[in-house]
Amino acid sequence: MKIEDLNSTQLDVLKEIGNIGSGHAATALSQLLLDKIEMTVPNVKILPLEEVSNYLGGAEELVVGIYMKVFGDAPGKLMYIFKNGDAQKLVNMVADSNLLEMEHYQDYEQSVLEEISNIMTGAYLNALTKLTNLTMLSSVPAYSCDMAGAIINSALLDLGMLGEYALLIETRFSTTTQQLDGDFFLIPDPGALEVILEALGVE
Amino acid sequence: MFINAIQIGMADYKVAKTPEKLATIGLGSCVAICVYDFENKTGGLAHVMLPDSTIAKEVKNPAKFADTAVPMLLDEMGKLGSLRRNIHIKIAGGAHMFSFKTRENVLNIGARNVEIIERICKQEGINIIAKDVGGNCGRSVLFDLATGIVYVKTINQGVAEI
Repeated sequence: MKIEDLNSTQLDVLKEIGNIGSGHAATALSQLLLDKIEMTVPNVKILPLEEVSNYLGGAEELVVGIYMKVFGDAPGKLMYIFKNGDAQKLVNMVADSNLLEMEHYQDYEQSVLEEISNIMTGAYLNALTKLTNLTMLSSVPAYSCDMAGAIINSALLDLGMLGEYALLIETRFSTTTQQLDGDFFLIPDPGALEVILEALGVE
Repeated sequence: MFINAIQIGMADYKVAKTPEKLATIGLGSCVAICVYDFENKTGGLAHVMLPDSTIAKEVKNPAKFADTAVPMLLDEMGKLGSLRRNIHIKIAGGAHMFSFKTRENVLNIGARNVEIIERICKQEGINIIAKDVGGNCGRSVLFDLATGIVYVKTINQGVAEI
């Protein structure tokens, strides 16, 4: 199945998957932070590979990215992107204190964000597994704080990359009390789309 | 410093003459290939994404792949009147942005990109005289055609010249 050939019904189904998955992920984050989490309706975007980083903001902007692979019946990738300042706010919220002044702050940040991603991803993929009866498991998270373009493109590309397009199921979430935004993406491998749609009985 | 330069996107390339500057930003595993004719002061920059075009059914865009971008840049330089013996190459990029703590580091595209570029340059008989590659940081590149100097900017280490 070619990503660019998906019809509107199929895209709606993928959007709904994002909706269910990120609903659970947001609940998990909310319980962790003891704060209300707001979440946008997921956006399904089909973009040429070379345009993804522009779509997500300036290629040189400093961001924190957490990257995970999805294994199982419907493989793909998962990605969390935070603006640098927002990543720090999130870490401080979880720790309930100001860690920025601590020695080795970067290590705390990496560890906390990886764990948050683990928890949210667990909730997201669990919801999808229940819905589709497909096995979907995530890898350990990998952290990077660098230029947005470098992070996004490196996560997107792999050696077997045949297609010209990437399909992103994007959800933005924010906390109301701290003015904090995050971006969350599920990027199914092209082969996984067929498996997901079939599992849900969509032609 | 990147403002007055010709911007080159992912999987894209440009050739130009002095006093132009060529720039590309946000390289992760991608590599900037900077070809320079030190006699004519002309040059080209390609931002390649993937190492090997043979996996693709058809190559619509030679600038996307390391193995097709090098010959294409050399062709374009030839059209601008460059002689092979006056051409050299500098490369930057090819980082490994995400390193997993487990053993699963199999697909390091950045290193593959660099490896293929080096192989093709050897085949073509063109010298790679400088490189700033590998590691785990993103890079932006500015290529000054007046001097042939390539400026490589990273978040943590500022600007280096190669």
